[in-house]
Amino acid sequence: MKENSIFFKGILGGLQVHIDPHMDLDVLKEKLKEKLVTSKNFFQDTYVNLVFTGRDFQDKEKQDLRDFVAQLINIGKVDFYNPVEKEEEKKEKLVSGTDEGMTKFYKGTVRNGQRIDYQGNIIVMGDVNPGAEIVAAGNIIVLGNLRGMAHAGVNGDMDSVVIALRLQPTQLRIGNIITRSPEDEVEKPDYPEIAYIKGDNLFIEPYIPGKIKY
Amino acid sequence: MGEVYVITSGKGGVGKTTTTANIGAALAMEGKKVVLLDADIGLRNLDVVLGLENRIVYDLIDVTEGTCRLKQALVRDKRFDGLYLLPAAQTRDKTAVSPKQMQDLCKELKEQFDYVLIDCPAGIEQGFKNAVAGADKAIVVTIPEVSAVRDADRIIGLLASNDLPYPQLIINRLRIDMVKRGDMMNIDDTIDILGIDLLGVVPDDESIVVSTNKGEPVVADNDSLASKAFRNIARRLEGSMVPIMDFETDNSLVDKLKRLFGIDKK
Repeated sequence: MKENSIFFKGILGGLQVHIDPHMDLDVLKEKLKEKLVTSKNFFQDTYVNLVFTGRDFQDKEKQDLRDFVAQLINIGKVDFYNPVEKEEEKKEKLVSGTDEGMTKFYKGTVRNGQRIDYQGNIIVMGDVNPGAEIVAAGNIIVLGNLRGMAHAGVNGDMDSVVIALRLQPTQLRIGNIITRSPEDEVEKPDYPEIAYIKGDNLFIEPYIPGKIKY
Repeated sequence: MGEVYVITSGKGGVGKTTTTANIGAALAMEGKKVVLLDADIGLRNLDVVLGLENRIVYDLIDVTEGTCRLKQALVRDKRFDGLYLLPAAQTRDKTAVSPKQMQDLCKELKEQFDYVLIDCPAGIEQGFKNAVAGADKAIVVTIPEVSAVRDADRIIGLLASNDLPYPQLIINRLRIDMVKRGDMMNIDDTIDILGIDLLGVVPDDESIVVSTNKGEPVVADNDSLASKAFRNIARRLEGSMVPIMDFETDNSLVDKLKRLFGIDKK
């Protein structure tokens, strides 16, 4: 653990310095000095862009660290951020629950071989033909015929729903549940329907405005 | 300045080549100057369907590689004035020509002809990309079968991403008797999925097989339904409002009487 408490990684246009989040600032400085001094020849005469990752820094700590490194080598731009946390934050921003979040509108027919993939809700203003795929982190609404494959709640959100004016998908997935339409010819309803998960089962019901129980 | 149409389908064997030959011949009968361009390099058929196989000296690749002039490679049809064929090379493959070369070739051809019809190979690879590169408009041929309609749908999507967003549809080989029995996809089912404008419907017709094997387009001297359908398509391309033939309702006197007395089995 101690060995890996700080490590360097070359990134585009600079150097990433990853830091163990539990490390004390003074210990960190010591380690940093050790590493930088041993590779001083390598950094000679160049300005090095640095990105510190792995833990949160307070403004005072940032300034402190910047000054400290500047004494050792020629530094260019210095950044601080925590990439892991940023990514999670981004996902959350796109869809939070199924009631709010970013929505992609697709206008036109989604044809065989085409795929719409979005970390949010998807609304298709047109048909989704057999062989087409709609994959959303949130809900999927098709204002037309859904004959292709739809996967709502792809990150595991079981509260996601799929609504289509004509719901005749080759396959329907919500969260981690996969269903297919029945093999035998059944009467195809000509009214809008909604698919949702309750317990371990996927239900399809006529979509009746206002009668929300999913 | 003429117009360049690419005739495509995705799936093989639905009648692209026959359609190209017959629309071309029908347009020539209307007095237009037409060139048929076979883009199916390595698997050429259009020359056979037209009965011009033995007249080929130079081909498309000879033109793009500069072995001959464009005019030398054009084969004049033996029946129709104004109909020409630019044959594909048989001993090469699809990589022998580039989309850019096809664009240049189409540009040159449409200066001399009213219509340039490109017979596209099956598939969505290099051959397809070459065939659509120089086209101004697209015609999608399908047959009323689920697999062919799937491929047509795929092709329509690919055409849209190649700047050909509004292709027209030809439904080929419709079996009237089967549609009446409800055993085949009908015209409405097909259009419902593909959602593009219908250019024509060609009924399944034995005379097509006969004329194709003989190497003469069915539109030449035939009163068959298929021949009539192809001539109608040509007139629609010319801008006439020709209604689609009604195959699905019975119109013989006996049928009308049956319906009158309510003994129609439907």
